[in-house]
Parts: sequence; structure tokens; C-alpha cells
Amino acid sequence: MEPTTADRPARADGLEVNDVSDGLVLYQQDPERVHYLNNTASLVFELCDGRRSPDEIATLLREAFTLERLPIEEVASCIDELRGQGVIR
Amino acid sequence: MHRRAARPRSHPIALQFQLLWHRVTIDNSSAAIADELRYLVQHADQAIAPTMSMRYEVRERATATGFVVFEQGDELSVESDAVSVLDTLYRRIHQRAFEFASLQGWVRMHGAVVDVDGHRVLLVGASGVGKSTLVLRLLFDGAAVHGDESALVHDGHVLAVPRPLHLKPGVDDLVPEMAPFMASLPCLDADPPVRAFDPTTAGLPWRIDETRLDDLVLVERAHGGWSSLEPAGAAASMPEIVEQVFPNQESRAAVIREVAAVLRTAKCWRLRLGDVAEAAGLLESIGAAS
Repeated sequence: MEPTTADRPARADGLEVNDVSDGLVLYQQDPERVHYLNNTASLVFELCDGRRSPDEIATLLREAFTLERLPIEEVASCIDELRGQGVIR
Repeated sequence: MHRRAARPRSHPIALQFQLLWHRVTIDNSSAAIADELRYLVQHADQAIAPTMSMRYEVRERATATGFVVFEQGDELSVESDAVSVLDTLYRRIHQRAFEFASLQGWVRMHGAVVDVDGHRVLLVGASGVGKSTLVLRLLFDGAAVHGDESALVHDGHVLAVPRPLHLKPGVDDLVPEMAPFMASLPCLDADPPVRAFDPTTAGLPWRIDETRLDDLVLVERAHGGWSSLEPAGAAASMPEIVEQVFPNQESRAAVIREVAAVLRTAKCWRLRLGDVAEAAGLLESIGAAS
């Protein structure tokens, strides 16, 4: 069975992504909204490319920040929030 | 537009000044108008070369009291008195200058621009927060003040809008060096009255140029209290900064893009503006902190 977007989150269409020094600012045209992401949320957002699962994203974050444990719950929570904002699907 | 009968000019008084990319000329024959227009005119040395021109003429009406204002030779409006002429010209000239800037990709926001210790600093905050008083303090402390009210940003660069500093009553209590100049400054009869201070009239340098922004400082009022300055997150501060943008021709997406471009490299700070001298000292420390 093909993985769904719930399994492999991907960024929503129609977003303009702007870098700032400590995060991302996303401009969404329809509906018109602006989203301000801090560094952590920005990393999760950027890793949501439609190919990685939340567990894989958590693994990458653990390696990037040399964390002792996999941040599975934190990643899931962040993905839920980003999905709630409509910036990933 | 049609032409209206107006009294021929007697003793023309031509005012000329540069406003961003425009060379502005106002022909006029009335001493009362010339006196009012002192509030509008500034003598900032601007690094950008003017490529556009605006030409206005103010004539006394031939058959009634009042004035006729012409723009590029066409009648723009009829005004009852010199204050109304100033108001019309002020709005119209700035509107055209800002439209042109917007079409060039610049976004305008509430903010004062000053160079402190080699750092280009943009002080962002709403009207009345104390930006003018603070930059006046910095000016007399030796900082290079570019502007006190609005600034253009584009591609991470900042350019102050040239405007005489607008000073409210009591500013000379906070910045005593200003006291000898206050009485002679052009005054707008508002509530409270606002005086326009062109630093060049006090023999102070006033140069405006465009460069990359180093520090963006969000200014908020701390009435009567101490001043404090602390680092702020760029992404977290951006909604407040975007609130201080004056939208013009550009899209919302362009506003976000240009503000983000500034925040890509500039450090972001939050200043609680209480004691003015203390706040100026804190800003002067930004260079050392960097």
C-alpha cells in the first residue's frame, strides 16, 4: 500500500517561504495567512518533504542535535500543529 | 484638469528640495505660503540621485481669498489658507514619492534610522513611542541620524525617508541642547504643536544613504521608567514589525518578503524606552555587543 500524507507529511502548495535569522516566515496566498515558525518548527517543516515519515524526521533531529532519545512525541506534536495551520498536508 | 483664473505672480519664491528620487520645486509668490512651507522643506544630503521631478505652483486667487495649487501645470486644488496649502502639498508630494518607491520594490515602515558606532540601526515603533526624542538625543551625542519617522526597506537594505525631525513640546527638557533652537523652528499648529527641526539649520551634518541594515530595534514605551535593551527573536518579532508597515502598491506577499529579507541578517532587539539618555547609551552599546 502507498504511504499517505499522514505517514509522509509534505508541505502544502502555494506557500512562499522566507528565511529569517532564527526561523521561517511562510506566506500563504489562499487563504491569505502568514505563519511565523521558530527554529525547531522550521526544521520539522523543511524535513516534511513527502518522503520522510515522522519517525525518520525524529531520527534526523536526534542526530542533528545529538539528543539522547528520539523526539518522537515532540515531532508528532509539531507536525500536528503545522498541519493545523495548513502549512503541511 | 482645467485651469482657474488666478492672480499673476508678483515676486516668485522658488523652493527646491530632494525627496528620495524626486526633485521637488514649488513656485510661489506669497510670503505666508513660503513661511508655512518651511515645515515641509528639508536640506538632507541624499546619496541617491534624483531621477524624477515634481513641480508645483501656488498662486493667490484673483477674485477671492485663498490659493490655487497647480501640479505639473494643472490645477490640483483650491485652498482657503496657507495651512491648507501646506497640508495638500505635504500629502500629495509624499504620496507620489512613496508610490514611486513602492513601484521600485521598496516597502515603507514606521521607523527611525541612525548610524551608531558604525552600525546601521532601524528603530521600529508606532507614532508617539518616542523615536524622535531618542534620535535627537543620539544626534547630539554624535550619532549620524538619517530620519525619525519612516524608512524604506528592500533586499535587506534600509533608506530613511528625509523629513525634518518632528519635535513635540517639552523635548528640550529631555534634550537640553535643543533649547536654543526651539523658538525659531517652523511649527505646525496641531494638538500638540509640532516643530520641524532640520539638523543642517543647527550646523549639524545630515546625510541619508542606503545600506544593509545591521540592527532592528523594536521600540516600546516604558512611561517614566528605566530603559532596557535585550535581544529579540526575529521570527517572533516579525508580526509586530509587519504591523508598522505602511502598505502602498505592493502585495502582502511582497511586504512579508521584504521584512523577512531585513531579518535574515539584521540582529533584532527590543528596547523599552523610559529614560531617554539611558536608552541612547544602550543603543550606543550595540556596536560593542556585536
